[in-house]
Amino acid sequence: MQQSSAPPRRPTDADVALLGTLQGYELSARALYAAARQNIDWVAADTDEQGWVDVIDVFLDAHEAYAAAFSGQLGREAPNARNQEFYDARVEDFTADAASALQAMYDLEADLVVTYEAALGVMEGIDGVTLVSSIITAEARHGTVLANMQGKRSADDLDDLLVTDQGTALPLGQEG
Amino acid sequence: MTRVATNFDDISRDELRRQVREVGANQAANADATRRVLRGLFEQPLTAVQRRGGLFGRRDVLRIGGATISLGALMAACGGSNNGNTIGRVGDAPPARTLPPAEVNDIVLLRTASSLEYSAINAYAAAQELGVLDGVLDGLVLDYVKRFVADHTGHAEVLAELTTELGGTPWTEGNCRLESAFLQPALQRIVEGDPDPGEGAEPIPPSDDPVRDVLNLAHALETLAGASYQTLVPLLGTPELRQEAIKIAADEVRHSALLALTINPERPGGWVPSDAVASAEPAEAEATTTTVQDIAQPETTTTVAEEQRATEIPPPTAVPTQFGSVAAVQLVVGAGDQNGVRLRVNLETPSLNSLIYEYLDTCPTA
Repeated sequence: MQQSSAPPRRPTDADVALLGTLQGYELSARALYAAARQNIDWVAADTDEQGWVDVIDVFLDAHEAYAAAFSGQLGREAPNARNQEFYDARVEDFTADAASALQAMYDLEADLVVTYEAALGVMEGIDGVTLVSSIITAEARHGTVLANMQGKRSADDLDDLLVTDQGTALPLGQEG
Repeated sequence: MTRVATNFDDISRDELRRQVREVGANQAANADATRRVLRGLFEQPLTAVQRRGGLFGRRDVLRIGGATISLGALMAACGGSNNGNTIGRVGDAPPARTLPPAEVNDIVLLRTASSLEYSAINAYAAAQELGVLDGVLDGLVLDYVKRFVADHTGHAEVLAELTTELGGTPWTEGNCRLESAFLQPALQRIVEGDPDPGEGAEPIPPSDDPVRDVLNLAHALETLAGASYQTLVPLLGTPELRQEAIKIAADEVRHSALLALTINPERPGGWVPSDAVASAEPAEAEATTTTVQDIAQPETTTTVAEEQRATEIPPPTAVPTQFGSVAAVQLVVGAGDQNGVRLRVNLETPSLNSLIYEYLDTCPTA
C-alpha cells in the first residue's frame, strides 16, 4: 500500500553506486559517438543530404550532458570515467561504416533506456529518480530518430520505430 | 451606520420603526441622486466631456453606494434566518459545501495516469470519426493511429491492475479537466470553427487544414502524456510503481517522436531542433532579410503581409530538448480569426485540479 514515510531526496549510498555506473555508460556512449563521428565520412554517407552528422553531434552532446548531470548529483563521488569494457565491446560497430554505426547507435540507445528503467526499479533518492526519468524520455526519442534515419517508415517498421521489446538491460552493479 | 441587533429578543418595536424610518429617509435622498444621474444619461444632450466626467459627482457616487448598502441591509433584515433565532445580515451565506477528503496518493496518481490514456484513446476515436486521416500518407497515419490506440489500451489495463492491487477503483474515463478545458475546445475549433466569437467579431471558419490540426493535436497529446508520466514518476511512492510508469512514458514519447517525424518532413529539423544543431556545431550565420515590402508591387506586398498575419504553427521535432521536458505543451489549431489569430492552448501536466481523486466516480458535470 502507501509508503508511511517520504522517500529520501538525496541519493542513498546504494544510489550513489548505481548513478556512478550509469555515468560510466553515458561517458562510454559519448566516446562511442565521438569515435563514429571521427572514423566515418558521414557527409558522404548521407546521400540524401538529410543532415545525419548534425543528429550525431546533437546526440553526442546529449550523452555528455547526461554524464555531467550525474556528476552534479554525485559531486566528489562521481567516478567521471567511462566503462572501458563496455566501450571496447561496441566501438567496432560504431566505426565500421555508416549503416553499421547507425544500427549500433540504435541498439545502444535501446539498451540505455531499458537499463535506466531497471535502475528506477531500485533507486530510492528522488533527485536521482527525477534526473534518470528525464534522461529516459529523451533517449527513448533518440531510438525513434535513429530508426527513421535508417529508412524505417512503414507500418511494418512500427516495432523498430517505437523500439518495442528491444534493448537489453546492462549490469547495474559497479562491476558493469 | 446603526448597529443591527442580532437577536429578536433584543429588538423593541420602537427601535425597529426608527431604523426603518432612517433607511427610508436615506433611500429617498439616494433615489433623487439616482434619478438625476439617469436623467443625465438618457434625457440631456450632453457633450462627450460631460458624459465622461459630469454625470456622477462624488456625492452621487457616495449616495448610490449608500443606497446599495441600505438596500442590502434591508434585504438582509427581511431575509430568513437560518441560524436559530438570529437575524440575517449582510455577508450571511449558506455554509460552503465541503469537498470530500482529497489525499494525493499512489491510487490517485495511477487513476490520473489512466485518465490520460483514455483521453488519448478518445481523441483518436474522434479523429477517426471525423475521417480526416483516411488516406493520409497512403493510409500510413491510420496504421500509426491503430497502433497508438492499442498501446494506450494496454497501458490503461496495466494501470487498472496496479490501481486494483493498491485497493483503489480503476478509472475508465478521460481526464475531466483536460477534455473539457482543452481537447473539446480544440476539436470544436477544428471541426466547427467559432460561429459566434463575440460582439463585433467575425465568425471563425472551420480549420483551413484539418489533417495538420488533428496530427498536431495528437502530437501534443502524446507529448503531454510523456511529460505527465515523467512528472508522476518522482511522486509515486515505490520504485516498482515508478518503473512501471517510466516504461509507459518511454512509449508515449516515442509516439510523440514518430508523429513529429510524420508532421515535419524537414531534415534534420524534424529529427532535432535547429538551435541544438547550431550549438552542437556552430555554423556560419546566414544573413536574413527582414524587409519584405516591395513598394513597386504593392499587391504582392499585401499578399505576403496577409500570409504572415496568421498565427505561426510551430513545426514539431522528434527530440525537442536534450532532457525530457515537463513544460506545458503548446498547441495551435484552427483557422485564424479576422486578425489571423488561431486558437492557442497550453496543455499542462496533471496538477491539483486535474487529478482523479478517489472520491470521483465519474467526471463532474459542469
